[in-house]
Amino acid sequence: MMLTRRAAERLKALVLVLTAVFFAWQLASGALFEQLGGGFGWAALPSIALLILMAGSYRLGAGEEPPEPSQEAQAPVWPVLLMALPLLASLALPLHAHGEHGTSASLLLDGTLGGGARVSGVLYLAPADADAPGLWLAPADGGEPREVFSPERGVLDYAPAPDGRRVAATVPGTEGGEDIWLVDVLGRVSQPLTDCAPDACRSPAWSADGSLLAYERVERGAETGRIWLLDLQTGETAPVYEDPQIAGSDPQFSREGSRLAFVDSSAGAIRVVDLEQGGATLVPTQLREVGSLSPDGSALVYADIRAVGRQYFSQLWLATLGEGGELRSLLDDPQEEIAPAWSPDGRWIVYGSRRLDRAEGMAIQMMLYDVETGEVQQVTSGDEYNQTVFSWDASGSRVLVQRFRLDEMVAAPELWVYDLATGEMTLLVENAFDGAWLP
Amino acid sequence: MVGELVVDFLTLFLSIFARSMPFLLLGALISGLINEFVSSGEVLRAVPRGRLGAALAGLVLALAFPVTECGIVPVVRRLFRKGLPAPAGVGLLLAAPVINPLVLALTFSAYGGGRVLALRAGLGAAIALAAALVLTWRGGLTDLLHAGALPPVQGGAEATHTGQPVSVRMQSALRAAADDVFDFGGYMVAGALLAALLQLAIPTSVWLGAGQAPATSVLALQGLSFVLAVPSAGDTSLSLAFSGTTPPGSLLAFLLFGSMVDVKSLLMLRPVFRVRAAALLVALLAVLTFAAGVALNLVGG
Repeated sequence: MMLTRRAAERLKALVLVLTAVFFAWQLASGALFEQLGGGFGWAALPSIALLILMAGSYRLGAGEEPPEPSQEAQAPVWPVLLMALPLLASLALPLHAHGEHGTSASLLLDGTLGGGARVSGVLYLAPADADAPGLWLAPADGGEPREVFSPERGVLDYAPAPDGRRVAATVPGTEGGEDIWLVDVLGRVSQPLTDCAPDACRSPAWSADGSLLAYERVERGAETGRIWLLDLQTGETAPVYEDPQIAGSDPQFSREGSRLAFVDSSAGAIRVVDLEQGGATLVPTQLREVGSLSPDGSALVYADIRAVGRQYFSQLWLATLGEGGELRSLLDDPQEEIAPAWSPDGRWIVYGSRRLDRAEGMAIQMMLYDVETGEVQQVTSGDEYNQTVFSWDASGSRVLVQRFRLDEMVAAPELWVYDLATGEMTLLVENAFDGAWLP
Repeated sequence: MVGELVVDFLTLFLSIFARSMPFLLLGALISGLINEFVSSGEVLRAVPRGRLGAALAGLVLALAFPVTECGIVPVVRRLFRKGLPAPAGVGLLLAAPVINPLVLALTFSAYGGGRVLALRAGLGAAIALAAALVLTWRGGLTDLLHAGALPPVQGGAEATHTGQPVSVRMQSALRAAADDVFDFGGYMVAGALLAALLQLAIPTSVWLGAGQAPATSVLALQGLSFVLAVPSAGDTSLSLAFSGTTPPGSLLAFLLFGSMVDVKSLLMLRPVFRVRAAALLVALLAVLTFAAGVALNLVGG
């Protein structure tokens, strides 16, 4: 299709203005340039200015005579129409971007692999009875679960990034060792983040802003590992402590990002590092589980062993951190408690509990501890299930519960969702474990 | 699922477009200014006539243009029209995206002033020089270029407003720039569509999962840089994500090959180069960067 020169120039001027609108729109909404990263937003303003100036150049100059109709050249229209495509595409995209799944991201690798769609739901490892379980996503709206990442040797553990678009996952190497991979939640992009094999790098944990990844690195043949930090922007990685005697496993950042906690088996303690002030607090532990930092990083709740007569049980302890910190039993009447998890708003601590006298049976029940009042609510009852692992959603209104049936000889774990508002417990997926909400 | 694929496709397409368009605009502006304020005689006087001298002059010119692979194409076409010798034009086309001051500064910022910066600049210049010399070994401008890219004496056309007020000449430069945007923008958009399609069809994990072998990892990273279609100013920060897990030669191949040519810029060569010349150019670049990458992996890895 051809146009006269004058008609083509009018159309070109219009497309240039519309492209300027595209850049202005993207700059105002921030979505696209934020995802592009690398400072591409800086290019938008001069681009808009140039586009407007170029569009203006198509008006006739003061001394320029319009060509005679018989002398007008013909110009192809397809390049002009192609140039209008981005604006049309950007008109279509926001309809989905703010739709049901909140999809608004790019799959582009852009230094931080900032891509991947933002979806809501629960990540988990499945099948639980397989030798090499993969990473799956169950949409929050109840749709069909889908496979996110299933390397040949399976996924050992994982951590969703704070942006909800990426996941760091530990994968066994083909020749021994383990490495951490970065995966987008749609499973279309994955890349190794570490190059540790034959050493093992595992247990990734994201900092609050998603710029750092803490992980455990165990050298080949060593019994204990150390905690390393990886800068996602630069790719640089280094141990948190230069001293190789400071061991580390199971790292965890506080939600607001000021503290990093991990188990230091050489010190027999949970080491809580103050990332802002420097220094660390050692919280003694025999059980060697890191527990759960409060959202503001000011306290740690964890399970540790205590002797009752000639038997040992675990109970929950609360360590307040910083100056004047103290350590006390969380509960006035401790029984046998496990797996505490602090809610994102700091209001609740969920944990599993079983009475020492077994007066209510053998099952480990789900409990909620009100941090403000100290009151305890028993959420589950009966002998049908053990409730053993808990994970809060970002709003603090739902808890993902890992349950085992007690009435079967060989039971596979199941993931259930407990809604605090309604009190309903709903089965999410069977034969799955290690569940976590996408932020 | 289909809806998500469409959204991902559109997002990829828009990302590539938004990254590339500013550099096309800058390149077109430079092209428009050259058209209006640089005469053929000045170009002819400034550049040596010998093949090696001309190719080296192209590399020197590359240091002056802060544009990427999609911005340099209109500049080179404009200079061809002004009589730039073929070796100089090809040298400039290939070297500018790699050794221009902006890309060198970004590489320094990401990797410091060490080996990566030196190798990117040195190998980039060497590969551009070699490709320029080989491509123009026997062919003249008319063998390489479409008529629209040729200087007036060889069938092209040149029009300036010498003697007019600067405002009129600026207006004219902007109009020439705008025409360049449409001459190349359509191909750029088509290239961005194709690149988005390829990225959806071939997951990045396929490229990055190719292993650490000296040859296959170079090929994989070349392929990745070709389909990602990220401007050379953006691929530096992108490469940091896998620099720790990629052999050094493969990383360099990524930084060199994708900077010089990718899906999008390949289509943008269409208004300038004849199909056979463009194909030979890409093949030369692929072979040279592959050889450099493998050699580096074997020697320095």
